[in-house]
Amino acid sequence: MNLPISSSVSSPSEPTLKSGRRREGRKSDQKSARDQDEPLKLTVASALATSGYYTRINVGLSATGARGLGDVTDIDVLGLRHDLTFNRNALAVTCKSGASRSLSPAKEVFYLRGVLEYFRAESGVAAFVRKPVPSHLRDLGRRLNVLILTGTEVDEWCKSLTNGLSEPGYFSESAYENYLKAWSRLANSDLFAYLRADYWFHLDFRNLQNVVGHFRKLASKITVRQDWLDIVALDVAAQLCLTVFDLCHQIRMMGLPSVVETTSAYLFGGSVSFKARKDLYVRVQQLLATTGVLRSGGPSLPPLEPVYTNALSELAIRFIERPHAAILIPQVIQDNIWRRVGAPGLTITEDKNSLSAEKLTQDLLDFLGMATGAKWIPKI
Amino acid sequence: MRDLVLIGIYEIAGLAGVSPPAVVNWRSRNSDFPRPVVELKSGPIFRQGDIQVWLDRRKGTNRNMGSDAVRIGLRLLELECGIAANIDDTNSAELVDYEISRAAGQSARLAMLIRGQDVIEDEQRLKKIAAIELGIHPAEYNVAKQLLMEIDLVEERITKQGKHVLNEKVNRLNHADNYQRVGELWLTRDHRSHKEEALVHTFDKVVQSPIEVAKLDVLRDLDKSDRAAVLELASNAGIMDSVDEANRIYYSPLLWDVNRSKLAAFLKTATESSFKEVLKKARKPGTDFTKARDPLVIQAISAGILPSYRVTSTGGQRVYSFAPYTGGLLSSDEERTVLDKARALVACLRYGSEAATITKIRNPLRILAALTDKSRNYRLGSHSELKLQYGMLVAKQLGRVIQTSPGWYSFELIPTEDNLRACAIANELMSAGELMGEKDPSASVAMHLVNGSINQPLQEVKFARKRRPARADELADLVERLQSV
Repeated sequence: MNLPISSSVSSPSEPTLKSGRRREGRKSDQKSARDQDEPLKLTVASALATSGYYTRINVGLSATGARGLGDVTDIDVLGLRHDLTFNRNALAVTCKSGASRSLSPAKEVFYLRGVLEYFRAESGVAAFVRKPVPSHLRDLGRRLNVLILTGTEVDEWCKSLTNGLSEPGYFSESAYENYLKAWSRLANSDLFAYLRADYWFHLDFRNLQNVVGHFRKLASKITVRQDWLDIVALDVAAQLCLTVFDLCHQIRMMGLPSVVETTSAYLFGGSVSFKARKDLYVRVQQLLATTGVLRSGGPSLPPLEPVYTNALSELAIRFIERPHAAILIPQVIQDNIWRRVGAPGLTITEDKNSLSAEKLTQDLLDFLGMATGAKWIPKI
Repeated sequence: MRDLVLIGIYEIAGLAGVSPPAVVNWRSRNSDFPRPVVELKSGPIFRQGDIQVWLDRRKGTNRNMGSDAVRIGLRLLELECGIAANIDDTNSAELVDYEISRAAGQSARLAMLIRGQDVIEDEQRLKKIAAIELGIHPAEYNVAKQLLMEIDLVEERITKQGKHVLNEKVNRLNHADNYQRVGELWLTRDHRSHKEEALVHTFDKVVQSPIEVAKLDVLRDLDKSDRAAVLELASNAGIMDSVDEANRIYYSPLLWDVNRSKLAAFLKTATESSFKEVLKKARKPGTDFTKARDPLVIQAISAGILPSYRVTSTGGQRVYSFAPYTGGLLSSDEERTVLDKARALVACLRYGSEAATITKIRNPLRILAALTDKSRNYRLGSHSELKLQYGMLVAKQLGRVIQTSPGWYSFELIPTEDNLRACAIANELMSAGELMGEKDPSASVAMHLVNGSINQPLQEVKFARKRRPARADELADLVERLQSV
């Protein structure tokens, strides 16, 4: 998607993170480099998160994760939630606070439509706080299933989303600052780069092995448990959860009796590519045996499937057995993250479903700890 | 350097990958657990180095146990099921010698009971169900729960609103892992009595194949009275009994689906080792013995030692045999009937995947899944081969064959509780080779734990009454009833 990074008035999210790493003496620079759309993004994200979406802002879409690339684009606010069959429902929002002439609502609407197609999302929202939008462009938005909001409509839409729910304080400026601070320690890590961009660009089976792999690398370097690591682990778990949901969706389609086979196949991109990989594995094994590299009684080739495959099947089966609770996991994690960075969090109603959701969240975190060897995984 | 790092219970749990209560239990139960540097109000503080050494040692011990631990775990569950089903006086002084094994067995049964529950909000309810269905006394329940916490199959949690709940962590797919944890727990206990050690190991040998127990070292090491006590308990619990009158060769009536006198007659012609070979050949549930040439195999089939099923369809007649041991707990005739149905189903599916001429079944487990699928009305898709292939199941009242069009038939399961259980057992026989998850029939009562779904069993809980001597009129009434019989 060779589209504008954001708009002429907003810069991409990265400087915000980079600013966290700058020296204290340059705080004034920090402010000037700040994303001007950020307050609007935070307001919208807060409303979406409160209404039950797992919400992220500044979602980068790039295959490489490397910074400074021309083809990097991002989604201002992305809300995700899943139905009982683990089908993903996405809502993408473009937030523009400026009124400059170069800001083109038509361009933004077309851009958003492309992003929505990519996420297989039905509808999107384009919020222009100060820029007036003529009626013919609103018509265009309607035809492309993009809701265009201007001026006070944005606030009203946010209010209608939360519908009188108590304010949990998600995406408040101070909490968001703390959240970014936790990640700023890993701003140069592969994990950060992957989760920020590549993860969303692929959004398929690759993420499972890659998220675990990148997190394992990080875990191997950490020896002492620290508070900021809890936020990182929870954030990783949330994104891992979305991929596990994708796996659950596959298992439901293939049937529960073949859960183990489906899990193995999913990890390699489907049964056809898994079979091809397996055939290759057998051929390599035979080759090594015939050349005398592998000897009976000596060390053998490790299995093709990752060691955590069975544990992953177990986790998926738990999710599928309790879909009402499982689909709440990203929300539970989200709530825990924001509580840890200073937000009051959601008012708790402890019914069977929410307790199961918390328990399944802990199962997911335990799986992450087991698969990556991280001993400092937090408790919910 | 590591010796200078101080850690608490929470950090140890993180190091070991278990919950903090599990660490607390390790500490109270293992005398060799490192001593804390200091006991603060917030909890004990340990040297990380000491803890790491202890954890490594524990891990090493566990690794060396390997598959033995799985078998031991299974035997402990079976032993406890046998005692609960067949021994009236479970408070007998004799059972004191088997305390550790019984507690481990009870914890395995409890684990099977709560499997799939995720969160147990009402522990009192669980205690009552364990008492009424598994015969686990509340005090025994607490011990069993502690053991489950120690092996990380259960975790206690206080919710944000201060509610006390239990998180269930029992493996749903890999049952062997659950039994391994129970087995490891038993194997790492220091204070096992010689008698219980001898019982469990002898039982494990007997389950695999009938054996002359006098030859076993573990029993020989006991003095005569202890040996007799062990064999008597095993016999009373139904887990071991002698095949012959000379009390030489023992087998497991609770786990072996075989007629004792037929087995005795068969063992007169077969040696222990040759019989072992036969059992080895029939290891796969539903082994095709149509073309078997070994006279001993043929004799075992005709004598009913290897339960066999004949399936006839377009591919001709085939014979599918099963080893007498399936892992099922055969404490009643009803259980034997369910197992018989499950085996018949396996035989039909084996025929479909190995001998069908028109369409071969690629994944028998999928067929089982379809058969138990309510949304499909428990019915398989129609096929011309179905009528003959599944005919035996109609005779066993497992289902019915329905003609969908001329020459085409569909098979529909009669969804009774027994038939659904037979399907579950068939599933386990085909996927795991023996029963592990469906082992304990009482485990099906787990559904009563779902709040608000089934209240009936708990409404039947009777009030505890004080024991008192019978009145004369009651005795007279009793005799009158006996006379009428």
